[in-house]
Amino acid sequence: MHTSQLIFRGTLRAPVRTLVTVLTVGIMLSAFLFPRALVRAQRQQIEEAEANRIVVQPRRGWGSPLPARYADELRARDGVRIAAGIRWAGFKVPGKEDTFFASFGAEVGPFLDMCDHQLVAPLPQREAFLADPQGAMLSHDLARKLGWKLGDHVIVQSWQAPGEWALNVRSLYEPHHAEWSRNALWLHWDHLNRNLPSELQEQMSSISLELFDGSRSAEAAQAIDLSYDASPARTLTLQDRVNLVALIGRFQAILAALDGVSYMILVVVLSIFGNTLAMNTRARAREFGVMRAIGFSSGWIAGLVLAEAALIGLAGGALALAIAYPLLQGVVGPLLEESMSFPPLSIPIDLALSCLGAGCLLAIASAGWPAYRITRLSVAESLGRVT
Amino acid sequence: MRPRLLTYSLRSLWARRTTSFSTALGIAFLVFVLCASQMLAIGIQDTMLSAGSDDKALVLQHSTGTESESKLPQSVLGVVAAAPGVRRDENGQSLVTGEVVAHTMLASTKVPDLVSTVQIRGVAGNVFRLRPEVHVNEGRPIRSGTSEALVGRGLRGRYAGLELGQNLELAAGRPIRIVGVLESDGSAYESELWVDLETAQSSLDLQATLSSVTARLSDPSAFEAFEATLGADKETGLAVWRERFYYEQISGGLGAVVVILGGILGVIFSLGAMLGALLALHASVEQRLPEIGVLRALGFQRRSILVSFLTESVALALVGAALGVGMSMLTPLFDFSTTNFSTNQDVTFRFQPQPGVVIIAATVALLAGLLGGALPAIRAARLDPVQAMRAGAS
Repeated sequence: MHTSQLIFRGTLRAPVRTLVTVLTVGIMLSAFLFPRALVRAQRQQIEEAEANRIVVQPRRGWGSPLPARYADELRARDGVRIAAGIRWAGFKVPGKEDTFFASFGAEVGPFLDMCDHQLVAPLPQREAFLADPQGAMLSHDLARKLGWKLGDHVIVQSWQAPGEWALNVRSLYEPHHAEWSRNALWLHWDHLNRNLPSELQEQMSSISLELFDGSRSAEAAQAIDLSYDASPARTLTLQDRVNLVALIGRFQAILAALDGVSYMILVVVLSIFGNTLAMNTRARAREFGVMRAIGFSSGWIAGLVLAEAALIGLAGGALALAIAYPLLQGVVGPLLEESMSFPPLSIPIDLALSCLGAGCLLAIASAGWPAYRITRLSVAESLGRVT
Repeated sequence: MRPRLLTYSLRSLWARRTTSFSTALGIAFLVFVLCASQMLAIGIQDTMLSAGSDDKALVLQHSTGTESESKLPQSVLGVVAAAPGVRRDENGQSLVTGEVVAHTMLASTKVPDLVSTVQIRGVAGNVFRLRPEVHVNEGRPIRSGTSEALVGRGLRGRYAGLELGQNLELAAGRPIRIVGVLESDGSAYESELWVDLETAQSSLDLQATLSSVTARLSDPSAFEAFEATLGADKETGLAVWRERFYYEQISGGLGAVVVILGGILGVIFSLGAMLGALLALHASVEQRLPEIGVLRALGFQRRSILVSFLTESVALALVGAALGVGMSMLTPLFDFSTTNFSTNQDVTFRFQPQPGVVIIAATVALLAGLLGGALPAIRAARLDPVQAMRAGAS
């Protein structure tokens, strides 16, 4: 019999117990995954930040506008390589109002100059989008959700204002280090602006700037705010990183609470493993005694116990992934995205691996004591225990 | 004397105290997660709803959802004051007040790099007559026409410039001095900065503009007549809300998110706690097969054995529930500040303990314990005494 077979059969010695354990651990670890996915999303935002980018926003907070002319003024400033104004469009698709997505009117030329390495699309599509005043660019994921294809002619409405916008789907992109754009649609700002009611025209929600010299972004931000201090629409200019931190940081307390819960889950999982594994080894003390008697070393047997534990832990981790994936993509992710403008949540490969690893490590940790006990028992003791 | 198995059950829990404790801890976490998320949801509601009342009406610009989006001409104040159903004071003055509500982004003093949105309310001199539940606890009220401000207890010290005696600039070169601290029993006003109305209007470039007009009604039923009169005037484009309903609207979304997140975690923890109890009890039965056999041989009925093991699981659940409730009772010591995404404003909430929440959580824990204990208990009860006694010796 191969060692691997021995390990596998060992885990199935008490099949119901093992299955219940795997099930429990799977369920609990799935709940561990989604707070981690949130915290990950937050970290990822920060990593995605571009060093030479700063974002000019209204000091009055999200939702209050900046005059559109600021974009031109900022473009003309020293040290500014690109300035791209963006206005939140709040689009919905008639008949598919439940499908939430982020939508923006952007000064597309400068916007793509700044972001085309993040929103990756074939060059001809990009050109077609730029050339068509009614062109729309959206992520592959969103196009799939809405059932749109390249070249489609579509009509959208806005939650913010009456009116309709006709759009031509010209470009589909794949986000690259830009999770914020995974569920988004972009159109020409002029087109958005023209169809808005007059009191909502000529407005920007924020203006992104790319500087020639990223090392001077803090000073540049300060200087910009200072120059608009006297005007009615004061600005708050943040480095890209700070801006992205602030976006999720608004819900810091919720994140922290979920984070705390995720550690509670680890404790529960540890105790469940501890129970099962201690029971498994106790029940098999005699078997181990026999193995010792026919020449297996106690270290080898302890290794066997640990390996069995690791296998059970791995199975639990795998089940957790199977549960968490649809839960996150189908329920929790969309909920947080729509209400709190989180970036779309996903379970990246390293998080998936860490879930498997956590299952494995916790199982091994809780098998440590039973395994140690086996090494301490003499053959006679372990055989004698059960007579 | 009829032999009793209660002490036997409890002693056997004690004999396996590590296992028992860890199982109870799982149940405790379940109770904690359920309690804490519900307490927070209730806290969110309380905070927002206690800012609104039934006998007040809020007048906003038509088709705007929040005060900060709404823009009204100053003249609306007179229109509202003349509407039917508005309470008058002893001098015959209508109890109405016009306010400007806006936001400003301020840097957090607690979390590095964090910038949050703080709500500013420009208030008139009679504001405390309309909102008698709000009072200045430290410092002093603002004097009309001065650049002074009151900071809500929930914001105080958490953002740059928001400490008693500090200054804040809404417009460049026009410092506004914090002279007092607002308290109002945890309501949403405690997360606001109150500034003199004219100072707010001029600093925010909202001259002769109001965001909302609040009217005290002669009684809650006067709302219909009040609304009929003001809402009918399509020219002015006014939207009339019952103040309580307005606050319900703007707190609903965040409350729902907390309830949904708490619910998902709650279901997961319930399953975890139940299966954890199942495993622990199962282990306990396995280990005690000979004992159970002896008990049966001594004449204990199957039912007694069943009850004895169920008692064990219930005892575990009770200990866990007590522990969990105890943990959740510590949460009110912490303030919970987050952004209310309906208004985009940073609000400080409190966890609100309530007997109903505790009872529900404890019931769920008990059920988890009972369900988890049921299978092992049934197995124990159905054991054949002879085989059970030999189980250990096989």
